[in-house]
Amino acid sequence: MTLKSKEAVAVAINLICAKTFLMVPVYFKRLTESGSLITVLYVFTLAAVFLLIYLLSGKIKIPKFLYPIIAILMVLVCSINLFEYSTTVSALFFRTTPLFIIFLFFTLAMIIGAYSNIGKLNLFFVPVIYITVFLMLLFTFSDGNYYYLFPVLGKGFDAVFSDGFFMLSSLFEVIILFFIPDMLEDKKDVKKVTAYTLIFSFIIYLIITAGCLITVHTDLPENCFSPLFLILRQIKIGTYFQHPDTAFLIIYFLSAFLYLSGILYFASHILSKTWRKLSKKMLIIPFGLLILILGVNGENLMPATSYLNKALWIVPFIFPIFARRSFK
Amino acid sequence: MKKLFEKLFTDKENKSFNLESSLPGKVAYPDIPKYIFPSYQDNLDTVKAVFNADLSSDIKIREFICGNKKAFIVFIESMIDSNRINTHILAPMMLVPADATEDMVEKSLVVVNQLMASDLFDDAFYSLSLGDCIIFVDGVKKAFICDVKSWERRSVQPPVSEAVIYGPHEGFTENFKTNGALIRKNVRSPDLISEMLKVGKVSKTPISLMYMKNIANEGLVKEVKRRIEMLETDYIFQLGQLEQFLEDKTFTLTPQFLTTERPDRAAECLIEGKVVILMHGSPFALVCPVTISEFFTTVEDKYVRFPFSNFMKVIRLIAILSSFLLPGLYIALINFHIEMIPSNLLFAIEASREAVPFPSLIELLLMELAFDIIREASLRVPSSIGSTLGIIGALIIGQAAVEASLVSPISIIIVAITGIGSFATPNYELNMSFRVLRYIYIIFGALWGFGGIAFCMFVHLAILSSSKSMGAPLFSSFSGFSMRHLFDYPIWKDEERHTTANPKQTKLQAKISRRWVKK
Repeated sequence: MTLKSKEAVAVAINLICAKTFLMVPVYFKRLTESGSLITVLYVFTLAAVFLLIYLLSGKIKIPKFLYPIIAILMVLVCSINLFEYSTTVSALFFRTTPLFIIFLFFTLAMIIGAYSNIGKLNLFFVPVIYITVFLMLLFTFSDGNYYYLFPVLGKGFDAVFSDGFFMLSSLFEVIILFFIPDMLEDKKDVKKVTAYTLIFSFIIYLIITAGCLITVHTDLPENCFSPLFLILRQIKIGTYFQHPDTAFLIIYFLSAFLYLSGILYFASHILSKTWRKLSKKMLIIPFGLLILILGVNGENLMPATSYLNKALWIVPFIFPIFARRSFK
Repeated sequence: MKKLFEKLFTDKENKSFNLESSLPGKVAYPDIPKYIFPSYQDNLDTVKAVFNADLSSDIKIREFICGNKKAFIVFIESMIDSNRINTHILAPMMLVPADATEDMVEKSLVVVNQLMASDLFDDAFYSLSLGDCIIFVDGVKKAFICDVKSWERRSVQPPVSEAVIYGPHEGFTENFKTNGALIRKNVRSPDLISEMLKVGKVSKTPISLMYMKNIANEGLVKEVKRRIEMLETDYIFQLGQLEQFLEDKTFTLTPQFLTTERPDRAAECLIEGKVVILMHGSPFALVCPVTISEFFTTVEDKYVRFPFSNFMKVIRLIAILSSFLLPGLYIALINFHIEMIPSNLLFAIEASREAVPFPSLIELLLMELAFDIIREASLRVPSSIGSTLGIIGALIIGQAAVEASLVSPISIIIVAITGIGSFATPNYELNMSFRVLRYIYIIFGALWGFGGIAFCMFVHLAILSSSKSMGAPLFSSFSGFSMRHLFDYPIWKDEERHTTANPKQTKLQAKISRRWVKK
């Protein structure tokens, strides 16, 4: 694989897994009270989508009229995520900081990230972020409490499938795989990129989801720490890891910055493909500002959010088939 | 009012001063003719006018008779070896019985190993300013440039900024030819090319472009030459100035060239397919392209066994990270995330800060500022006073400031660790960039806790990831999942060259370099 292909894999992994790690596990757990079945559903559906894209890679020609629609959808999704990340961070950690300042920080990082070499940035950060997340979880997850991961069915079979299925809209970002070939030096690499993204996304997804499902909403009493953490406590090093979960915040921010800038980059990229006179970099700042304005008024977007959450799954799932037909 | 201003700000004595003549681009001396004149007198007048021989006391012109022809020799007094001029140039020329022809001067009269005949004044004057002497003979339309340089020069000494224990103790000097020889001594290959170029329209500072013909990428060499040749500036004196002219991104803190004062490191870079630039008067070599990981390594890493070099790299990395991240993290922790600090430690910190009247941000900024001032001062003072300055710094900033409750002991510990960490940074320019970055991290840490730190890290790395060194990405060390750029392998396993410079030959050694293993 060429360097550009590796960058493309990193971007794709990040866009899929960052969302997973930032939002999906908690979201799913709230709906189903368990992670086991929904994780299985999630992983297998993801596999199906990827497989479809993998099989059709190189044969797909996307109709031009769909480009602006996807770009607008991306901007909308990005605005909603910006709103959600900012309000979450504000409520949990920075209650005294004005919300607009948090919005501004996210937007600035998003624009700078999209302006710079997004591929290389992901290539550098993705392994760092996910290895750190794994280590953090290793230090904090409760000992042997696998209830959240393996209860029988949580709220029941119906709840898992009826509510959980629509949550698969979170996989909307998978559609960037269609636009990844533009990033590649050698177009033949697209199959490899898809395969690598598939394998690594699965591994990262499984680790992060499992870890998050176990740790979220756990009070972490001292006798419920992982053995590794207890060993550290025994040799008195662990005493200095009081509430290591706070350090998780840095990883959360970095993932959010990477995710937002990745989406902004691709939204600009897709639209610039529609009108050749528009350059990608020309669009980044206006799109960034648009996302900020929409994100600040996120509460007004909430009705749209519920529809998007239910309907967006159609795009990545149906898109490959539709695109294939259009090519024929 | 206008008259008052004129009266106040007009210097009566300098009324004759013509502003226009001092503007850039205006030549103060007469235009230099292009070709050497056949006439002795014309040449003499030109040399005198161009070099202001009436005013400049070090410009020496010696007129003499060579056979039946008039001739003169011109040189700069302090830059030549007068014995060589007397015995090897003047004596044979003045004692020749017949008429001196161009061929005679070039082939039999002047006894110096390097002689060049040129019909251009430009060549003659350039060589003169470098310490050569020029001979003009009546009726000959050429100037004879003889190498008689003898500058006061520093001998080869141990490098100051890249000292090692386990390696050679010789560093570059201000003489670029000596530096070139030091590199050639290390490389010992006929494929080592040393191309001469000049920079600066007026200064015409000689530079040497070195590369391995069989390894270095031709595109890279062409690009370096193109950038150097396209420079339009009057004066460049030092490599630091040239570096600023050549770099890809100006508004970034991280250096994009590697500066080294070690010939062995420059040689190692050449073997990797990189380009090395030497400049007259500069005791450093400029290397391009480089990756970010090369700023964290020292030449000694190659000389010690790989477990030790890797261990030292990890230590260095921790030191470097603490040099710019630690104060920011400290501020973020005590202002936003106190739940992370163990209770006992938190009480201790709060108790030590109780009497301090400043907020933690101001306290830390004051300390950092004081530390930087002391460091800057200690660089500028004579070495004999340096130790005194250190004692004053330690006493005043350390003990007295704590006793006066101006700062807390924990801040001093943080600043001290940061300072020690920055001294462990192998590259001076990178160290300077971290000094600036440290303040940015402190401010953002104080503004937004870990969020601010994450923001700074993201922006910092976003800028770095889009930075290039002579077209090669600074972050190419992180391309792929290989750790070759970051950590050392056993030397016998180091089979491939780094791909940063896109070398012609990627193979560094045979797959089985230790043939004695297989019998």
